[in-house]
Parts: sequence; C-alpha cells; structure tokens
Amino acid sequence: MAATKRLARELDDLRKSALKVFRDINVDESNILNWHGLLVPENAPYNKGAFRIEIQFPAEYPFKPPKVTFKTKIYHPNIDEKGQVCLPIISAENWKPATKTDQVVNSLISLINDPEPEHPLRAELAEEYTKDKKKFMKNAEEFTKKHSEKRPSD
Amino acid sequence: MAGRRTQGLALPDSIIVNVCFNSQQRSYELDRCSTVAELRQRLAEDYGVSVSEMKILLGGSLLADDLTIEGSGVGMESTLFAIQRRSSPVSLKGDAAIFLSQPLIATTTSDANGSDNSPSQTPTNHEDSKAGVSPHPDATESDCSRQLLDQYFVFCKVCKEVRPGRLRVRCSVCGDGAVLVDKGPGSWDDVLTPGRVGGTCQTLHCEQCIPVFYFKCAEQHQGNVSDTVAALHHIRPNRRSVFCITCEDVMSPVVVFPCESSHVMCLSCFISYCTIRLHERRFVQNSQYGYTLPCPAGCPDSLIQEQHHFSIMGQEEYERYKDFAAEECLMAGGGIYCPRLECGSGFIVDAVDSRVICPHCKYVFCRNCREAAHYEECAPISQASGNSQRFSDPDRAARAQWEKQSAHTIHETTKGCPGCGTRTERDGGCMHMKCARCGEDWCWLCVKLWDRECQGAHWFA
Repeated sequence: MAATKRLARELDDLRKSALKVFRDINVDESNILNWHGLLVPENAPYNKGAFRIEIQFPAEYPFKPPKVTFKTKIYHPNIDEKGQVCLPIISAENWKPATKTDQVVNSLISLINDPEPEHPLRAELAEEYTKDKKKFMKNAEEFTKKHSEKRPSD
Repeated sequence: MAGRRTQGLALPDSIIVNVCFNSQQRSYELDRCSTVAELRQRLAEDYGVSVSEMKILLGGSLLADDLTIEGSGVGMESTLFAIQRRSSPVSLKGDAAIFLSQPLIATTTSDANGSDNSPSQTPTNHEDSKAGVSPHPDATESDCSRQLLDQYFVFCKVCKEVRPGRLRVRCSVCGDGAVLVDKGPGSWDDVLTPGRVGGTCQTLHCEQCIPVFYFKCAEQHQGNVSDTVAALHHIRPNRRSVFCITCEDVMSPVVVFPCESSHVMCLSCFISYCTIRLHERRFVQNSQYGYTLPCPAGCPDSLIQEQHHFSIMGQEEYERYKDFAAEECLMAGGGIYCPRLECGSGFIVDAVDSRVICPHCKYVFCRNCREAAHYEECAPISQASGNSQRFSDPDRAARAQWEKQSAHTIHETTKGCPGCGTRTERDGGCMHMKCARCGEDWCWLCVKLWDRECQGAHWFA
C-alpha cells in the first residue's frame, strides 16, 4: 500500500525532472513495482551508447531496497555478466527507507562513470582497468559500440 | 483516529460525574451549564461541610468557581475529587484552574466523549456561562484541526489503537486522585519522572505524597478497566504538517524521532517499519533504551526511547518483539537456552565446562551441540538427536521427528556465522555475508571472516 503510493509519486517526480542520464521510464500499468529505463552515461567509454536497466521494487518498499539489473550487456568491473550490480546504497544493511529512486539512479550513474576497481564483481576487468587503462578503454568502447542501445538524439 | 462520535449530534443537557470525597464515591447528575460553584454548594450540603471549605480538584489543580461543568473539561463518567480545605481561598496557591501550563492543556468542550480533559486554560467568562451554551472557539473548525489539540497519545488496550490520552495525577502513597500539584509540569521529564513536581495529597492522614502523573485513554471505557496506559511520548500531533519520511503523506498524529532533524513518520509507515525490521531481526539492543529502532534516515542519537511504542504493531507482533528483546538481552549477557522442547528457559552460564545443567528442568546438555551431555566429541548433526524409540507417546515422537527434519533442513541449507554461530541462509547476491545478528562480515565460501583474499578470489561466483 505504502509502496504503490510512494512509487507513483516518485515516478511522477522522476518523469517531471526529465533527467538526461535516465529516461524512457517504462512502467507496466498493472505492476508499479517493476520499472524499466534507459541509462545514458556521460563519461567515456560508456558515452558511446545507452543501457537498459530494470529496477525491481519489493512489495515491502520502501522498507526493503529495490534491486537494479542491467538488461544491456556492459563491459564494467562492477557489473557482472548477468547484469547484477553491487550498489552499496541499496544493500540490505545500508538501505534507508528515506532513500529515493533518483538517489539510487544517481549513485548508479556515478558508479558507471567512475568504476570502482577496488570493489570489483569482475576481477579480470578490474585488473585490466588498474593495470592497463588504455586497453580497458579500447575494449570497453568497442564492447559498448557492439552491444549497447542507441543513444537518444537530444 | 479518535472518533468524535457525538460531533454534530445534539448533546444531552446533563451529564453524570462521579465525585470522590474522603475515599467515598457518589454519582451526580449535573446540568452542563451549571457552575462549579453550584456543585460545591451541593457537595457541601451533602457532606455537611461549609461551602468555603469545599474545593473541587481535577487533574492536579483546583477548578474555578465560575467555570461551567462543561467548560471545566469534565466529561460523562469523569471522576472529580472533592476536598475540604480549612485555609481561605486566598492562601491557596493562586486562583483555580491555575497550575497546568499551556502545552499540557488540550480541551474541546463541546462533546461528551472527548471532553474529559485537563482543566481548561481559560475560565469561561461568567456572563457567557450564564447565557447558556457558549460556542466553543473551535466549534466551526474541522474535525482534523480539533484533533491537533490532542497533545498526548497512548496505546489503549481496550480500543486496540493509538488514542489521544488524558493527563491525570494521583498520590504516590494512597493512590487517590485528590492531589494538588505545586506547579504544572513543564516537560515530558516532569511527567515521566516522579518527584520532579511536588504536591500535596488532600486525603486525610496522607503525608509525604509525591504526585504521580499518569495517562488514560480519552475514550470512556465501561467496567473495571485499569485506568493507566503507557504514554507514547514520541507520538505527537502533526501541527506543522510535516511529510512522512517514507510515504510523504501528511498525517496526524505522527511519530517524531528524537534525532536532530526530528524526522517524522506516519503511524501506518511506523507499523510497517517496525514489523519488517522485527521480522528481519534488525532491531538494535541498547543498554539505555532496550531493544529498539533508530530513525529510518539513519540519524545518530535517534533511538525510540520507550518500548511501549512498539505495542502499536498489534498484540501478536508485540509478543514476538518482547520475546526477541528478552532473547537479545540474554544473549548479550552471554546466556543460553535450554534445548529441551518442553523447557526452553534462558539462563546465564558462567562456567567454561561444556556440560550445562538447566536450572529449571535440570536437563544436562552439551553447550556446543545442544544435545544431551556426552563425554566424546560432538556427533555430526545427522546422527545426533537419537531415535524416536525413546518416546512412548507417538505424537511426541512424530513431533521430535519433525523437529529433527527441520533441524536437518536448517543445517543443509544454512551456514553458521563464524562470529556468533547464527544459522544463515544465502538467497542470492555475492559471497560477502553480513550477519544480521552480530554484524560480522564473513565469506560464504570459506565460512571465515571476510578478507581481501576472499574479495579477490571469489567475491562473486
């Protein structure tokens, strides 16, 4: 009950704020607990494409955190092959019911823009990122061009 | 919240009140528009006391003569205390209706159910009271704004709900309500800590009185219901129309956390917050405030300071809360539980010996595996906890089998936290576990404390 009302409000606010980095928010009318959206990072090498993500809210939201999954493949030390991401702001022990989805999205965007190789989910990418940044950038850019979504024109 | 049931309905002209004099109680039918002076006159005649010596007390202070019964905050079935004072009225500390200061007085005078209030702040103008029912200043305002006048909230066991509360005072020695306080309480501390506000019990032969403040539900309850209920001092009327920190609705009353920002949560979100945290067993054990919760924004120094606030989760959850609280308290003190099905008592063990004797049922068991005491090493779980032949009762045998099955399942699907041994299930995510019980960081794969090695080798697998 609290979840539905709050999510409707959050969705409304997010759509009104028209963030450039998170857009095309799609929510199934019958299930407001499941959001889809397009992440548009600004930093290289991810600024060559856009990434579809899914945000799943539990029925107990906002008392339990949402889960974020990448639906588009991404070459990133903090996101695994299944699209899972370890975002501290939405971990069970850090989660605060007062945290809003826009904060979660912003935290995700900063992680994409600035990878944290010291907390990797993919150790080999983290190693490449720290030891041979040039190679990493090249690989990531190629991967982005090949697998990611088209960036919106505006 | 509190239903103003009589709003908009015609009120009866008279009300019944109980008057207590020298520990005797009598009922009086009073006209709402009659004055306190008229009641004094009547009581003086009934008890054979001179009118000038007869005083009437409510909630720790004297009622002024020119107040109407209605204007004094007396409601249906209210109990007034009559006392005999030989001193002249001048020597009393100030005039009547004096002592309770502003924030403590919340009174609406125009309904029978909610009007059992603390003495009114403004004695009604004499002319008005003679003229009959004077319109209350709030009469035209909405029900909502009227509710904002209720400053205190209680969890009423009869209503099974958070209700407006009414502040009352009684004598610490004889328990009688005929107490005159020296000054009005200025804060919650004054009310919650006996002795901070002095006073005099008006009952004969009762000396060394300490006035004790207490709260009752604003609703009138019939029958032999205990009057006293716990005051929930974190619950307040939402006068400033602050948004709930979680659902963002403006509700009243609300829970105001004691953090610096005074974050506000509506009651329904507070109930969800507590219930979900309780089920996750993520309350905080605090030496000063017990088993409690902080502000949901994670502010420092924001713990709920009084445990009755958790009773608003409802009886079943509150019972669970009390069980968990007792367990946490016991565990924090190094205690253990008797593993016998019929016993389960908790106690503290000092000895380092692995053989433990339950002080209640005298069962002797092994501290490490919780099986019956043994001399050899603890048996692995699958062989332990013997066969059902031991039981002559088939039901008990079946239950024991069931318990064994479930213990087996727990062992199969969980791992023990290396810090405190709490059986933990991993339902996804990475190998980095954080114990919900002791907060230890540990590795699911190695079952040891989490380190850089785990992070590098198998953080995610």
